[in-house]
Amino acid sequence: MDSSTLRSATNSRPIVRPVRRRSAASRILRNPLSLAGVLLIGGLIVLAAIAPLIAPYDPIQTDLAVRLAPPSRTHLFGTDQLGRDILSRILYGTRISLRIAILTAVIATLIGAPLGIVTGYFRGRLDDLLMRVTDMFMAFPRLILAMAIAAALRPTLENVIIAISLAAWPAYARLARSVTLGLREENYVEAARAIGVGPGRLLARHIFPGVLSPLTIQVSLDMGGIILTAAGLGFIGFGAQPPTPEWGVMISEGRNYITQQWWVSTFPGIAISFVVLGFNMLGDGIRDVMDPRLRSRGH
Amino acid sequence: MRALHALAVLLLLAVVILPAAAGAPPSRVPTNVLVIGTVISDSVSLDPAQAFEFSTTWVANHLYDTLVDFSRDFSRVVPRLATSWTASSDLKTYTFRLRSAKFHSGNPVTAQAVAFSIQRVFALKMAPSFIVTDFIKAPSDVVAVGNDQVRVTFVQPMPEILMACVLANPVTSVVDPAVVRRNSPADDPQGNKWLTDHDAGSGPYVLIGWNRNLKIEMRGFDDYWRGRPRMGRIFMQDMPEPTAQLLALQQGDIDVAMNLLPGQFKQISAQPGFQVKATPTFGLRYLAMNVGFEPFSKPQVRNAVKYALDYEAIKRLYEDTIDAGQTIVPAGMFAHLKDRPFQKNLDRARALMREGGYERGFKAELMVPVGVDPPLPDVATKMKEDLAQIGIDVDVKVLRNADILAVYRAQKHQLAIQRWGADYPDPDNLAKAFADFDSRVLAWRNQWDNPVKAKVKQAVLERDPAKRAALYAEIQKTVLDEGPFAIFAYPLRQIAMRTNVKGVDPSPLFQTYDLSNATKE
Amino acid sequence: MWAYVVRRLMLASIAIFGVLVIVFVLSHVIPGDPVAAILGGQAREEVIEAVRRRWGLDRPLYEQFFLFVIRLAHGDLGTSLATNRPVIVDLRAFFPATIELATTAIVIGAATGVAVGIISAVAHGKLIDHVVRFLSLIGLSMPVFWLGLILLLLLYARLGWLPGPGQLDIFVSRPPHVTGLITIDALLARDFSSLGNAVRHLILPAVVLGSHALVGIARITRASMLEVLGQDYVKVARAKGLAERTVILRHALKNALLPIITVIGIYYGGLLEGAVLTETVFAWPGLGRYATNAILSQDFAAIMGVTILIALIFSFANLIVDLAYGLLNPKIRYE
Repeated sequence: MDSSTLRSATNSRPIVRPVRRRSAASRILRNPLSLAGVLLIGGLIVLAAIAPLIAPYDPIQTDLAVRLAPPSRTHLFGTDQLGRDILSRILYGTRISLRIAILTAVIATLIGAPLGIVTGYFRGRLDDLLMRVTDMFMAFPRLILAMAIAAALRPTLENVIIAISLAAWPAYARLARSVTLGLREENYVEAARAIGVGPGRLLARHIFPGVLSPLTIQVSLDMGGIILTAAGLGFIGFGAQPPTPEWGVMISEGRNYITQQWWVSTFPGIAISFVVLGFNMLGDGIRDVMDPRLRSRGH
Repeated sequence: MRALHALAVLLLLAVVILPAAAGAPPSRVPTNVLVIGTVISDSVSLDPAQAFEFSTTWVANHLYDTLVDFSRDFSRVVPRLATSWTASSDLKTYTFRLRSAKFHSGNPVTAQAVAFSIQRVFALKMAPSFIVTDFIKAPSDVVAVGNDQVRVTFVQPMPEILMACVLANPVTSVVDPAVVRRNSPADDPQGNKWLTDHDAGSGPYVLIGWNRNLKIEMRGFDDYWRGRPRMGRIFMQDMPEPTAQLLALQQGDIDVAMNLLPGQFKQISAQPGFQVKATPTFGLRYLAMNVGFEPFSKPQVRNAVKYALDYEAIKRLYEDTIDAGQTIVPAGMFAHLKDRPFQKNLDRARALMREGGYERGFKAELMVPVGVDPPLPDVATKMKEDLAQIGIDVDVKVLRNADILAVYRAQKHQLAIQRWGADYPDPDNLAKAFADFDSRVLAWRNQWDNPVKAKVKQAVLERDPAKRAALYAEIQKTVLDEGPFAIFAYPLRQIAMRTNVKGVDPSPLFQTYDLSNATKE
Repeated sequence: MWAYVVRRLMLASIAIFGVLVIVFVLSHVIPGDPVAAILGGQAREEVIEAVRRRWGLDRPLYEQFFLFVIRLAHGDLGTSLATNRPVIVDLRAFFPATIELATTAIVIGAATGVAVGIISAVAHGKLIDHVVRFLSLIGLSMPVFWLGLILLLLLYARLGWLPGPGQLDIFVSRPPHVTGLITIDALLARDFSSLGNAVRHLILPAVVLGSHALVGIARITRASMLEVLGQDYVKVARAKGLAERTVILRHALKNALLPIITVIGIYYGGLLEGAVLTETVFAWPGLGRYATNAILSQDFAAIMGVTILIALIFSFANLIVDLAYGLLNPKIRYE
């Protein structure tokens, strides 16, 4: 199981007040944990951006003359079964993992947050319906649900993103809903309502900002889990297509060689661990900084 | 903190790359037991009328007897349950005389049981039934004459080898009618469900049990007519991961590994205490081009593809464990044609693309199955690169074979990598599949309706071996020059085992693998 | 409270029915062909058609679903296309292996996790706390399938300390079937050599499967303990001069237990997810592999059977967690 289910369970009733953002940003940078996360993720984003400049080889060009070559000065991380340079593939793979994580988080939030805010604010039938639908999705482990969706769609990178987003949005919808439920009773919201602010403006101006920070915490905590789920899908064959250098697929291909050519799946595994570690540190740090309830515990 | 992480990783790596201990640790398997690492997770049923995969036909061949058998080189027919037989002058009717043998239940094997078993194939109409129904018209064409003679009437003249293609095939295994009837509920009159994981045979081994996704267990049959087999027990252990099989073989947990990767066979053969045995197989791997997809309706474009592929590179991906044959009848089988006209030749391929009107190239989707044959996705990746050189922009899709077959059968694919394994050791099987549109198999799926199909029907009736070989040569040439298939491999079958294992030899046809002579020192 | 349970059960059954509809539609709109998958690429068209008819796969989708529901109402999960056996028989054969694995994993994860969490909380701010926190982040960051592969290579192939994939050594015979859990059955049969063997086989996959749970439990334990240790009654207990061990175990842990138990329960239900990957790596004949194979060969009956079972377990785990929460904390009212 990944950490997100647990966190959404323990975070189901967060006590949140809008936090002034500028101070939050500087606090994130002052927290050693999140600073390390920011540096790691920032470094990875830079690597992803300049991958074509620094990758020593074309990540999909095969060269059978050097297939399964061990790490050396010409190929720092060795080559795979088609003679492709593993370092170059991992560098390009950074783009893919980051893309999966960010797009999935964005899509799942875009589906979940508006649904949760609207149904949480207006309650009624729509709200019941949403709760039943999320019940349905949450009655099932996320990876297995994503597996079923990915199998129904055809295995491509885009469909991996869609599958995980579809499996992940209910958690965000519930979080947004429960926060909204609390906020709509707040004095300042009631006051705004009393002076005749329309529902659209109210939701956008007064509720949404309050939902934003718990959502940010949750999403940043989930990013690592999303990457692990995507890699798991790739590993069991529901993921990206060759020759795409997706890390989960690379581990899966490399496991056939693991006794003799350990480097083929070891390096992508380390790469995944690094990215997920970065996101986890960032997520932990952001939570420490932005969640006042936890901060009061004093670290 | 990052230094800590780096340290942990380094430690891990240091242990990972420690050299494995040289030589073989002692086997942990008792000497009267043979443990085989193989893949049985694809197995559906051990009912011989239904068994159609590698694993199940192989096991069925040990639980059951057929009337006749092939010699090891497939050149002659040898007795099994039948001690002798006579053929009518038109070669359409054979009469077999049975030996006295016992079923595992203790019941005698009778002529009625033989007739019952073959009639059952008609009644169940399962996947392998065509092997019977293509050659025998009706259940009533199999008749018991007294208790120890069986008369079989075929629809066409059957030279002895062709007769054995039917009657040595596991689908015609003899089952014990009394046991089957006892286990047939009203909604399953042929006892198919029960026979899925029970046995009612007379073969050298008795089924002890089949634990799904775990193992199939057999013990030697004391009253076997050839005498009790030397190996008291056989375990077929399900190990879908090739690496797990390799490790288990090295650690002494299994005696024989069936499904290693090409590179792993190479590795283990160099290690003292282990041996690898190899044989050609009656199977092939091919790239299918759908003639219904506009560009491939042009024979020039199909041949351009055949000239664009790098056959040598593919062979290297298989660590040289394939024979890069190109004709539909594989090496070692009757009438095999050695022609290998296609080599990577980009000028020629580009010229053909021009002739076909596609010098600007086109886009095509290539489907390749996952988990069928490990190097295939890599082969597809290599092909993508090769075909890009003549302007074909290939989109590789690694899919479950279920997905591919659905599209393939509906004739909706563009390019697909698939395999074929002979159902019986006669060129007729491959000719029907690859050249006879009317059989509704591969020529049909690729919408290639060529007049050569008349020759396929003619060849199977031909009684003169020389003329028959000439007909199959013609068929193979036509498929080679005009067909929608780029055949790129005849795989070699390899098995790895400990050196103390004797009498386990691979065979070109998996259903004829025979473990009943196995011994261990 | 009973009204609450009944309401929850009703909601759960609505959710499960919804899941069934979703999975049914999903698995039937997949472009694949289960019959062709089972029969292989060499079957003749007429045989494929005959099998489709025999299994009712040629009927319209709503009719197939209707038949499925009727059969389900009679307690019949149908027959698996891929194993030719009733799905219920298959589930009974595969499920115990997963239960055994998941239970061992959660026991290891909970015991170690709580211990590590306490140590980390007591040593709050000291080096060991930082090391533990950092290692736990790393543990959370490694893909389980990769960790499994590396450990297998290390402890089985290179060092030979632990046995390889599978539940038992090949020639060790299974103890007679009572519960289906090999360790329990071996214990019942007093077959201690099988028991030892089964336990040795369990260690590696259970550690891998339980690793994320371990880390999660350790983190929650630490946070929860920190909160409790700052409370007044703990200070009072300390002031009374009670031994530090008593303070921590008797007073603090008891009160910190609530979120820990919740998390353990949630993780237990969630181990099914990790089981899919772990069972693939360790050739473990459990539900995860059965589910993967079913999805791969589009074995409808099997997919639906697994869906029902998993949704049931998941919903029950959630319900029990919520109830336990209530029992431990009387302040919570069930609405």
